[in-house]
Amino acid sequence: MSADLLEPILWAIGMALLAAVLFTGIGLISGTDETAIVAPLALLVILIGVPPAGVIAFFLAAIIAKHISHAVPTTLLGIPGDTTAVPMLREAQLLRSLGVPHIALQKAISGGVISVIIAIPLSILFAWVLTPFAEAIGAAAPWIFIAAAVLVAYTSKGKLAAVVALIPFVLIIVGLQAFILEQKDATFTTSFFLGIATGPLIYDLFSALSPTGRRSMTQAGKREFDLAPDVRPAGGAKLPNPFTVLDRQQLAYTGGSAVITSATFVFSPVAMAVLMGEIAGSRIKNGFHRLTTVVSVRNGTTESTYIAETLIPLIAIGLPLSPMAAGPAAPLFNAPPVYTLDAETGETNNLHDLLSTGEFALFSVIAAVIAILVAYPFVMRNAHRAATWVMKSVSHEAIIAGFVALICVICLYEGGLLALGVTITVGLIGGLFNRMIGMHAGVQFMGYYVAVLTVPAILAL
Amino acid sequence: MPQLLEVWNDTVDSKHLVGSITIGIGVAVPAFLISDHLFTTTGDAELGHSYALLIGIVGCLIGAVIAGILFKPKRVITQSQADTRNRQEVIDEVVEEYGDLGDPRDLKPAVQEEIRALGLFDALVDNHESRAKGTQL
Repeated sequence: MSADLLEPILWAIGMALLAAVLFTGIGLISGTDETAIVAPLALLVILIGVPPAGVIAFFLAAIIAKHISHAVPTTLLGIPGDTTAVPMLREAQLLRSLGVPHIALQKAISGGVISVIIAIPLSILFAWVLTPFAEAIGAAAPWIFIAAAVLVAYTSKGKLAAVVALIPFVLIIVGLQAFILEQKDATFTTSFFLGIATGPLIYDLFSALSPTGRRSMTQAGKREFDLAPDVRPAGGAKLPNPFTVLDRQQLAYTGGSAVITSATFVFSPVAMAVLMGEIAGSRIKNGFHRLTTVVSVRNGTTESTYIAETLIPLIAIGLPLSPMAAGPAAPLFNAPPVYTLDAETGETNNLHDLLSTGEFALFSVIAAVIAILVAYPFVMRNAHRAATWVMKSVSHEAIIAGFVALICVICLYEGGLLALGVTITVGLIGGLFNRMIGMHAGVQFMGYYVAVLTVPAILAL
Repeated sequence: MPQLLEVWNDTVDSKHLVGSITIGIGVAVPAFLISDHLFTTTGDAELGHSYALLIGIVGCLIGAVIAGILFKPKRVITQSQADTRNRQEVIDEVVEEYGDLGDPRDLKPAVQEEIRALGLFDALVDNHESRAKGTQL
């Protein structure tokens, strides 16, 4: 090993360790959206002046650790840990009703670990394959996004209604962006994502405020939860191996989904998690086995999509051409004055230019190993204890309080009161569309990209 | 009599909810605004915003912790081997929403073993059989 590489490696190890510990903790808190949390913290790391090796390792370790520990609130509390945890919520909730929430958790995090192991090498491989076509992909991006939006909308619960509802939704975003551009000479990203991600919460809060809405939300008494006894696989205190927590069929489906979703880097991670879960679920006859398999596949997909959607555009193209790259990973592409990106000329000076493919591979592996070594044993060992503690001592009011405060702080950070207004607007409308016509957050994210990418392309025709 | 509402998939008391949100915003937003003002006037603006954000996020956590100490969860936790009758009712509810959970005896031995260890095996078999009878009638 050359001495030149030693310093970046030490940076990568240090930053990965920091991110793994920090985000294992953050993941336990429900509703801590990736875009809202990871993007600003990655930006912070970049602006402080951490070298590229530390930045990429920090970012990857953060998302890998978070997508392991986000399964804790999702499976044990029935509240999505973040946006990507939403697709596994239903299965997790059903398993919780059956009194086995810790099994949902173990399946979810084991699926995550396996997907990380598969997605890192495959993403790098696909990036290498794609590099020659980078320009063509960039040119076709607007049309890829609109096709994906229609497809994802049609496969949502809303079916045709969700497809048609894309029109008002996209127009609202276009309108808001035009107004923001006029006022601030810049556009917002985070406040739109935050609105989409927290739509159901914002809608519920409005509904609770209105006497009409409140009537339908009233509960007769406290809700009862039945926690099953803690069950550990044979072997006692030894840490369960993710390859034995999942049975062979589950390994095959989780692995297969990770392979597929490492290639489909332009689609929304939420949508891919839904789709992969449906495909795996439709092939399993036994209902109980289907529940546990879908949880592991869906959580696995949240890891593989995030890794692929970060690494492929970074390595191959250098432009934020994936939902991830335009969201949580955005600072890796564009964080002036450290990393810059000129949308007009396509000139970049970001991680794409600062790291070679080999360096990407090396630092990604370091990040993955450290994140898994920190998050997996912690969550696996303390799952049941953490669940019991959270259920008994953490009130839902406190979680909502923390989250509403977070929305306010992040919006004020991005663009003051105007950004807060944007989040409330998008959140109320998105939440309404979500609850009333079954247009889930994944469709709405795609709607956002249609608004920022496809609409300008249509107008330019 | 407190008014219990279902907000964001769990039960809250409406008064406690208003109190919690007030505390959360009351701690985090001033923390962010004050530190943002201090950092940006004394040093690098871009970096100052980021540090202020970090303090704002810490403020959110502190607000949530205060709300958590003041207001207790509205959940009743039972942690026991649920009796079989109750189990059947629970499984029926799940089946109602999700469809039949199937006969665990059809599964591979390793998977059966896992369900046995969870104590769900007999309950699932019973449920499947009573459902099979139900459809025959």
